[in-house]
Amino acid sequence: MVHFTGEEKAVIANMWGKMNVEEAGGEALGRLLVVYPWTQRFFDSFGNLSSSSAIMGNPKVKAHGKKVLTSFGDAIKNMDNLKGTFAKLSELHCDKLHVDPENFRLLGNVLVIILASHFGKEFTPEVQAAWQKLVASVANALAHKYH
Amino acid sequence: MVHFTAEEKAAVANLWAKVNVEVAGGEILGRLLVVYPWTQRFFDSFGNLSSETAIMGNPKVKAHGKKVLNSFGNAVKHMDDLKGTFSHLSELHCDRLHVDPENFKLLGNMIVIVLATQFNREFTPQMQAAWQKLTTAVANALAYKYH
Repeated sequence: MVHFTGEEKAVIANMWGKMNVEEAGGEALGRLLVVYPWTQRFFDSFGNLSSSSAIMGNPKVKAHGKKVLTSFGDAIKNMDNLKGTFAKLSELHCDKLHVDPENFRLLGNVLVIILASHFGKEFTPEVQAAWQKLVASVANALAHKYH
Repeated sequence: MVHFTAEEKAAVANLWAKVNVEVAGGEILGRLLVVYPWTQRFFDSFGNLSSETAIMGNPKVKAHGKKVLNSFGNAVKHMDDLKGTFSHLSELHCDRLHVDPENFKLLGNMIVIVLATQFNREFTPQMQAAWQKLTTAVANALAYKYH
């Protein structure tokens, strides 16, 4: 089980409190689809994903991004039990959605980059380290029930 | 050979022109050492790396970061021949420095994150995609002569 120090938890919760989850969620999912275009294969029903502007402006991308990042918020409330928190979602992504777990790491990476771009200097090395640890742990938790 | 479109080259060059290589270089190398602490093993002679503040303020880290990022500037000037450009450095990192090529990907990740903190909204999804493509290609070029 991953252990987060008091400082790491505080740093993460502090930044999360300042985030606009709806906006950041759409941005995170959008950037995933732009920067790693093969991920578009999971979103055939989303309509126009033909260009960076189409993707970033796509209402289904924004809505689903919001859903995904809201779920990420559960991680922040349950940092001591990520595997338990994401057990059902892990089964879903394996059994129903058939998503390669590598994609969870890619999404985590995109989330870190968005935080960096939104918060600038406030995204210090210490804050970055805590967030990279969290996204890696969430990715592992989401992969945990794969078989 | 990786092919960069004219738009990708323009996006990269445009942002690069605004980067303060000295400041950014130190920040990038510093963050590598903070976020991925095992990388400190390559820099035993650098003195105090005992905390985030020590690392980010360490003059040898700043100087070496500037050297590394200046070298990365060569990549921006030679995006059509990265393997040729980094051939000697690749041999050096394999034969003399014994650096696991995985670390080049980690450093590339730091470059993208530091650019995001510096350029905020200007670091658009398209910019991010072009820069991630470049850092990946440079990492591959640096690994190319490994044996």
